[in-house]
Amino acid sequence: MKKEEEADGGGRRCCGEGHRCCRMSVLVLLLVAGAVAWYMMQDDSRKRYLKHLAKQVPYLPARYYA
Amino acid sequence: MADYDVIVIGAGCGGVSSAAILAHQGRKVLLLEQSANMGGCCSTFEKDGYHFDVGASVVEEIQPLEIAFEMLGTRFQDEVELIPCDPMMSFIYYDGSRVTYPISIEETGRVISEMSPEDGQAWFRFAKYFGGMTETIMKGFLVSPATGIADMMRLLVKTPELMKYAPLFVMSYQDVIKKYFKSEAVQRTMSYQSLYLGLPPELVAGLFALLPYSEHEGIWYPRGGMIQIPAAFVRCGEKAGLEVRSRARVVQVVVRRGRVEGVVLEDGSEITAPVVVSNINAKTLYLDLIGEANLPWLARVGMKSYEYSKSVPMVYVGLDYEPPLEAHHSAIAVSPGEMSDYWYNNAMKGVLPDREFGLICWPTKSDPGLAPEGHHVLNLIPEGFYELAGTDWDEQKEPFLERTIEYLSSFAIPGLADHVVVKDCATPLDFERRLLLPKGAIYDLQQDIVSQTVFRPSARSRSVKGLYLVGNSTHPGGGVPTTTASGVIAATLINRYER
Repeated sequence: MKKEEEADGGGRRCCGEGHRCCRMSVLVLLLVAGAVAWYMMQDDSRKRYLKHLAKQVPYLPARYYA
Repeated sequence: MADYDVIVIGAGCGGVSSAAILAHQGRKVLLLEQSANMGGCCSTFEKDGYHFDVGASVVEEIQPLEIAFEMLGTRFQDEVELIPCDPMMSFIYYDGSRVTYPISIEETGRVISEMSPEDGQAWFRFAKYFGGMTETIMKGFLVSPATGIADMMRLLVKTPELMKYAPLFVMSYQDVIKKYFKSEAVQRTMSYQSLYLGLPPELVAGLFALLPYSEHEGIWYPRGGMIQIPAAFVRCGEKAGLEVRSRARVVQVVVRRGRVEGVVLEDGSEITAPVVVSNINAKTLYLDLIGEANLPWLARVGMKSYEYSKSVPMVYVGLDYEPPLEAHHSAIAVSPGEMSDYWYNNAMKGVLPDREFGLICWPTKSDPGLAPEGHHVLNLIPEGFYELAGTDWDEQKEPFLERTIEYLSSFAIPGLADHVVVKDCATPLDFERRLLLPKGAIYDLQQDIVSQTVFRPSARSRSVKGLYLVGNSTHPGGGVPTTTASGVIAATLINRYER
């Protein structure tokens, strides 16, 4: 009986976390899609500016410790 | 027992200001300079009776200099005679026509209105917006440390108005200029200044569009040449016991167990100190003088990721006539589009352009004493870059010098070629050799927003204890007032952490 409850509870937790995870993924995807759509609407000059910044973003954590 | 309390490497404005302040505060300080002259890019040399500025040509936003001299118990204006420069700048179009902006915001608005009434109105909105931003920045940003997130949070708490300008981070300089000014003739007078950051207007963050405004807050020229500023710092420092050694090149910064212990000079001698202040390029400092083995891997990756700022060739000419110019500074008026073309088709490919542009500095307009009576001096700063396709600057130096003089004679400075008495040229290679600026990068590291504040090498090293950085490589970046601000910041941090 106890084992069944634990199993149920565990299952519900897993299902709840999975649900949250799905919602988060959808939210992230929407944000990314929004950012891509916004980027696509920019003119070529603004795109070059954003690209110029974006290619340096991966280095920011390392630059912070430089 | 160490030889000194503090060793400062390099006598640029950051080095001399920090050295003087620390000596004034009672520390035993040694300032080492690899060349025979003080000042680095902010220096002046003499040739046949004509005095030429090496690089920096005026001083503006002088608050950091005033703060630094106050910390020395004196006043900037008492140590250096400042000559106000008005008009602010003259712009020369390729057809030879020109427009001149006075210092006065109102008068400039009137001049712009003559070109475009709509842009004349926009100028006042532009000046109000960036005037507010300049005031906010001057409230403390420039002389406040930016060594970590805590510093940035303190700064935002101190000046919350900074958040008002956040949208300027996702706009480029070019976006801002085009948003305010519709006439191409006017845009041409607002674009050149982006190159102070080493990039064309479309790659520079919008917040730097304050540059065309900021010079209207006032620009000055030190009587006797730009060298007078570092010379004043050295003079004040020496009064407080500062020891200065020129022609003393540092080849190693000694680091043991993660802490700095001194420096080794070219002749092999070692000088010890528990604190070292570096005024040299940060990549050279960390990767060559300290060595990668002494750095954590993250710092190595960060340091290698920085790109160098742009370089420029400089042409110096002594003249036996008064050049037909209107202002201490003149610039060839180029559109944002032309600057982008130059960037992608010339600078990136190493091909010198057929149609040059750049800055013309006329120091004898402000200080006639820099040349024999009736004669004049011009420092010409055409655009250029370090790497040339299929050739190099040693080969191109003489032809470039002659071509620049001929070219400017043809439309910008009529008669120039017929009145040159003395001429000289410093190429990006010369800057690399004489001032030890890698790739001739006059502002050291690129100055866009992803290389600023906490993302620029920290004023207080995170990798090596007892090591502090000043100059172009650290916050707040390149320029005479800003590098002086870095000297103030380093002295402040040393007082906080190295008692």
